Amino acid sequence: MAELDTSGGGGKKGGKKRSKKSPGRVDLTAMVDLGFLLITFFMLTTTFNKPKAMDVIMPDKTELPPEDRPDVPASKVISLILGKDDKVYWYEHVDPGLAPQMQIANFAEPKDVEKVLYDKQKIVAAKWGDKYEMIALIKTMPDAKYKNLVSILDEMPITDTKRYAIVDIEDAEKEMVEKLYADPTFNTGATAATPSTPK
Amino acid sequence: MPKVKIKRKSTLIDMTAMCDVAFLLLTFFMLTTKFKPEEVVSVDIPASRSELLTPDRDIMIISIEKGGKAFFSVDNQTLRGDLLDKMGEMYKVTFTADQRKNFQLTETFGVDVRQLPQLLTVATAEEKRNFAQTGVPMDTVNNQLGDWILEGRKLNPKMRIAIKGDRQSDMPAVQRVIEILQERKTNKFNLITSLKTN
Repeated sequence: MAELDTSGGGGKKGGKKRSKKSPGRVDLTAMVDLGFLLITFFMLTTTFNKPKAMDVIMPDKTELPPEDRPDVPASKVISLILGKDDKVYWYEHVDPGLAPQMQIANFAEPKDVEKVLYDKQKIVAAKWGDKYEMIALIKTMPDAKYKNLVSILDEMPITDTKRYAIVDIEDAEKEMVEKLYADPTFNTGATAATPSTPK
Repeated sequence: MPKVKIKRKSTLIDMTAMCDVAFLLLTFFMLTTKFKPEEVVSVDIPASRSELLTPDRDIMIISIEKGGKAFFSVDNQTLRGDLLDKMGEMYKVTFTADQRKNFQLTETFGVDVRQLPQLLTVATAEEKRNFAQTGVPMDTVNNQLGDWILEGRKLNPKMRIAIKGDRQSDMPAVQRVIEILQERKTNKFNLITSLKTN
């Protein structure tokens, strides 16, 4: 019965049985196969590669009067500065008077940037009792690429960092990073482990 | 005792209905498929692990191509027309009915408002593609991008804003767009990315 019946009704009563003119039935199996094959094809090709969106919430730009600004201990804060060639220049904030230690992490190496954040979280958790106390400041050098911004924003949910913000880079930080650009010994080391002291 | 006769059934099944269903579905899928609209600007979007879908409606997309030029697009055709009227009023540019209609069908553009009439009068799609689009001006003196965004949001307060940047575009251009958004008190927006596969 996998055929289309084209013989046409039951035939008239008493009608003469005529010889069939054409093969009365068409096999539809192959057609059904083809139909479903095409459906599968369309379903698989349409739903894929839909662009995804990433939520970004920026801090409000309105300047608060100095007395309303919250006091944040320097030891909770880590600055991540996006530089050229997929590098992240980062340092932990220290109390005024001390020189911050600039280090490098690399996006080209898997988990490198993640590790920086995890390490800082541990330090913050040990000192303040809660890893969510950590504040990450994301800054960019003018020669950084947009994909690095997306990558670093992507790291935030991965490392479970709740408090972070994209902020403008300060001139002093810019100078520090530029000095490191010029320093070949520092640039060769891809990981944050490179021991070197910026001036 | 009568012999139990096992009726031999035909193994053939009527496929007609199944065939109908298959082709009905096929037609449905083919008709509902939205073809990728022709892009004026090619933007290679970066990958992230975010799985949030980009909204289809009520969205303004600011594309930033490799060289830092900004392109603007709004999803809704009626709104696009109204937006053009508002911008024309603001910048003292008049558009003919044909140009307005053409603008409604223009998904993305990247020119100065004053150049828009030129872009909208070119006849064929071919010519449109070859039209040198210099990007929507967004510097502090001539901040048209900011006006497009502001007017768009005024017309539809539910409007969401997304930035679609190229992987290789430099940060200053992206930061300028973010700054414009912040100046307009839009502190929440989306970055359009593709899903990272690994």
